Amino acid sequence: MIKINCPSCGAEIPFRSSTSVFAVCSFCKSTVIRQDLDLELIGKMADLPEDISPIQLLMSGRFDKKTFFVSGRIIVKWEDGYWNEWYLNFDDGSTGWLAEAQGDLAINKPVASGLTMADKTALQLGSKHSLDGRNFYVTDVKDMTCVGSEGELPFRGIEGRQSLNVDLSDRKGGFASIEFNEEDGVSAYVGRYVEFKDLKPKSFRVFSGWGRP
Amino acid sequence: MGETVNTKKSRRKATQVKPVAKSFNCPSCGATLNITAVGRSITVVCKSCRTVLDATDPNFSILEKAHKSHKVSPAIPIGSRGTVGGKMWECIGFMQRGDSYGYRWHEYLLFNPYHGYRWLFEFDGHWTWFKRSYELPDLTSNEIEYKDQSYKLFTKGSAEVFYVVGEFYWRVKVGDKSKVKDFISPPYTVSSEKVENEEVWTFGQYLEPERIKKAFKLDGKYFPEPVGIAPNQPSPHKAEAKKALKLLFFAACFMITVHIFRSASSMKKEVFHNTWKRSFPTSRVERAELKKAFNTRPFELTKKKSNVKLKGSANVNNSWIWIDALLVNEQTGKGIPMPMEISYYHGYSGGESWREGSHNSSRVIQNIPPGRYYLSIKTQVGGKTIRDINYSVSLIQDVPVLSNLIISLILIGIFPIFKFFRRHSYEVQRWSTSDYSPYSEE
Repeated sequence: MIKINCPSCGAEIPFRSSTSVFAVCSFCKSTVIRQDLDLELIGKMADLPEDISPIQLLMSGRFDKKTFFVSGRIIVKWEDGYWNEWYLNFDDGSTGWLAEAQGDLAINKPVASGLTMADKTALQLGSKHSLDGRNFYVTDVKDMTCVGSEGELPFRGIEGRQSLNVDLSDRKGGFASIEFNEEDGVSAYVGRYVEFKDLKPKSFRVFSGWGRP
Repeated sequence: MGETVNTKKSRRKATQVKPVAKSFNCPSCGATLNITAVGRSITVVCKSCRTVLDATDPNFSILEKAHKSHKVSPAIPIGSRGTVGGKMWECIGFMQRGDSYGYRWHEYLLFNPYHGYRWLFEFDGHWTWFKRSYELPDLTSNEIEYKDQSYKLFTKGSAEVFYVVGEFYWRVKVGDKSKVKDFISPPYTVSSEKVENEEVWTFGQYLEPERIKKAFKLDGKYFPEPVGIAPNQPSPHKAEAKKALKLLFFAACFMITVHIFRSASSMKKEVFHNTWKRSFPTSRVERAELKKAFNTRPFELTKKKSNVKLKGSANVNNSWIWIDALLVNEQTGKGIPMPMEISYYHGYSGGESWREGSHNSSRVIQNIPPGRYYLSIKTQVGGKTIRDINYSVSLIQDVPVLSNLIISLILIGIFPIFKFFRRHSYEVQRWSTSDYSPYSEE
């Protein structure tokens, strides 16, 4: 872990993941871009909307026999609501995302898709698409806008970042997601739906009056 | 809002958490409203004036003025909590929906911050517990394959929101329409809901009404009594029919084994045998004489409470003989009647030869106590051919009786057959409200 002082308030900003290039200072909410050991101040993050997620920064858990911890989050808005994308760092050095939408959780990891920005309109609802050797069906196509972020991220999680998001499912509980972003290009992820309890979570958020999961 | 949980017990005690729910006043009527699924609910419908509010707006702006539809009282009040499947759920939303045929059903949105959302669906007092399905079903016309099980299409149609109250994670209002499909394999249902191009699949399981009542501690006031058979209600006859069949199998095996065992161990001992000649009477005096009973020599029945078989044979030829035998206990003088008729006819008519009857007959009597017995025999004869008849009678003690086994098997078979009939009629009734009944004739 590298700790670099915030160029705005001087507080330490930890970089726990070597893949992180962006962070939000937990004290002054400044947003910074990291280049080696230098931090470039790019702005300030507004207050994040409240939500009832049991997931929080530094929560750890297990997935596919590997331990992960949550190092960052972006909050995404679409036409009819919000969802969270939690950035995961696994103990084998790999990364992934825990998507949390309407109480449903899915973990997926980056895969090569061979898709280009030109394929943006090719993925229609219900259409079949093969990813990582598995057959998926498009279940959802949404325009999304980042409304805020926290922690550290592998890209600029700034407000207003816009993408087209395509969700896919298969017949066995698999989940895949493809993001089309003008700046970062096409990113594809493959994984599956999970239950919160099955992640054997530690350091998660506890809600009074709701017991434990 | 929340605090970190550490696995160490000492730290766990120190965890302090504030309540999560958010309270505000309805901008239309001023009623105090709660939001439980903070950050997820995007619409709140005021429970008192039913104005639709934007939950994503800090000022809860009005999306739609109160609609003046009839009031519907939810069986599970908004805000009440219950434990189902070992997890606590809060009822946060309620809708009455219906179709164009006039059917109305109720849907309750349940929430738990760790486990997300569930739905309770109630129609005619029957309840189904739904969870979003993460596996896409494989659709083939009127059937789907879902997690290696096939489900049959039960209903297909449109659903409209008639009444709504509470908080929801989508934009909801009265008049919202969607296309719904239900596929069943009791006690499970797989449902599809389609709005525009988006199709969401849910997986449901039938829940006993009593379980809902207990889980949410509901009094009987708005709790509907179940009517008829629900599409996914498990058949009480299915398991019973299966059980009955199993029982039948074991009972039959047992009886056959007992029969084989008894056949092998039975004595089959002939205790008496004799042959007589019966002549046709030529005069009235002779007829009276021939009708009289005569006694055989005595014989011993040794085995305790065994059966006895009386076998008769006669060379009847287009004639009959009536052997009225009485098995008499020498000591008590009590007789057990064992009458039998032996007749045999044959001929040639209409270009075909025919025959009827037999030269032999037998009968069995159960539970004869041991002792000394004799037979008292009276005979009568008749027929087309008048000729002397030779007849013989033998008495065999302790014989295996196949008819006992057959009768027993039929008797024990009646119950499962009845059960299977009940099961079938239950299925016919279940499917009677469906347009896709496998039992209806085309």
